[in-house]
Amino acid sequence: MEILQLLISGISQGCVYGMIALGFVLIYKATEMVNFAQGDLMMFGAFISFTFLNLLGWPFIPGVLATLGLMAALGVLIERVLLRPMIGEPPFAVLMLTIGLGFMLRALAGAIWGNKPRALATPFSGGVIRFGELVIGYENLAIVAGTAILCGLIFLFFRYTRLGIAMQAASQNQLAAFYVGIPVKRIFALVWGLSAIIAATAGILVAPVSLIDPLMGSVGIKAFAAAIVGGFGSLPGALLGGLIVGIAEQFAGLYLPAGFADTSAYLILLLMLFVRPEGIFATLQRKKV
Amino acid sequence: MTERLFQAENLSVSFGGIRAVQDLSFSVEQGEIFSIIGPNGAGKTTVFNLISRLYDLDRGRMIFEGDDISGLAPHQIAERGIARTFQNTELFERETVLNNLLIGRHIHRSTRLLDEFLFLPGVRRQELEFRKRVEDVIDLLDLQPYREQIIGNLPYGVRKMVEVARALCMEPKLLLLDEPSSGLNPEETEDLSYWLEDINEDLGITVIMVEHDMNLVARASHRVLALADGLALAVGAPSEIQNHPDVLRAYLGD
Repeated sequence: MEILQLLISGISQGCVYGMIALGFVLIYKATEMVNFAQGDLMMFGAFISFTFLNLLGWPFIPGVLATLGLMAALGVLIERVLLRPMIGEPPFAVLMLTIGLGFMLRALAGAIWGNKPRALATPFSGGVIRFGELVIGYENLAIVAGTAILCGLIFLFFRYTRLGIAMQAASQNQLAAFYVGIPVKRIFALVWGLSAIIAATAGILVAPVSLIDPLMGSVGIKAFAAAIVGGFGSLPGALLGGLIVGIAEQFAGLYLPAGFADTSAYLILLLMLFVRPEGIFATLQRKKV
Repeated sequence: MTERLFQAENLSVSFGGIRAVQDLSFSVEQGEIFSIIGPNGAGKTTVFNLISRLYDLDRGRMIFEGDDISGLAPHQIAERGIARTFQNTELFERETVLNNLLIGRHIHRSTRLLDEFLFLPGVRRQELEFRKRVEDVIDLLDLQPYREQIIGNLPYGVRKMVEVARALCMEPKLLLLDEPSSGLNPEETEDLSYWLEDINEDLGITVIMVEHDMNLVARASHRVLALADGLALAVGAPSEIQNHPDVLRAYLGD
């Protein structure tokens, strides 16, 4: 029973890592840049939803939609203002820029909302479901359900929509995408918007469980490890990597000495790099000679 | 009197100190196959990159169907009806041939996001129509055996034809072919010349082709433009160009 309980909290935590990892992978696949501010975007999304839902007292659904809309706009704005001038610059410069962006977002959040941890009250805060000895919080259910719905929508988006298919095309071959009539630059901005939406969703779902504070984005580093475990560049891999890291963390917390819980993500990453460096769902093909 | 489809006026572009193309003017009539030849570094591919707006012009302008297209974005060029292929192929390597051809229909797709999420009948109808158009192109270029294969696993010659096929799926008015025969064996090149005829005569597509294989050029094209060092040497029927003194000098030296 204890194992099942751990598994459930592991899955819900893993979903959060998975969602942030999705954001990493999306941006990387489309633009070949790694956005280290992904965790901070999640934090910012959580604060914005906190503003709408708790400070302004909006009902849940409109508040969430407003948050997602605002975050999408922020994502597009970041691409347009900060990343687009960096086209053609070395990847390392872009990486430093996104790390700096993370610092800025943290400082901005601290300046606007203060550094004290805040709790987000949502319709699914506080309640629990019991199956015998098993206790599942509504928040955890909401995370799992939210992740499942989000992934379903993302799947439909990439499978069926003109825009989703254009995004895939732009991420595979920019030149070819241009010449079949896809506005690649606009697509990149939209990819950033989509990643910000995913990050904000993660933020809204995780906020009732962990408190909101400007440093909550630091889980982004674990999510980055999760993305690599999954095979950077694969969307299902990102989710699976997140789940593996989340579950391992819970078990390490109980069965291993103190300190292992927080390092388990990196231990798994290290192990993965030894055994199968291309990740679970490898997308990088070796060049045929 | 044939109609003028594309016109280049005084195209000039330099990269640093290298004048890649200088004051180049030519025009392409509706329905012709127009070849551009010249030694390596003559500026042939540069002309293509100018037309498809990968490079910005320093001077001059390009007119397509009466409109100045010198300032359009690359994706707008596709919307106008100009398709191209690349010397070394630019395909979506990890996708099937079919998916590569379907994305060629991108500019013709008119369904809306919400309808697509719900997969409404209109979306379904359009997908079916696209599939039919793509199948027509597959039949035309004999790509049936490769339909479900991943591009990365296909031989070079087939990839080149897939790229031509993708361009045809766009239903272009003007098709730019960058060295279509490079890397093809003699039989494949032979097939290519028949397909060029089909594309030009049956589908009515005007073609501008950069090509080294003089046999192919002589057999397929109506007019030929010879370039050397970014300058136009001569333009005319293939037989005239092959015996033109300036062209011979550029190729063979004095």
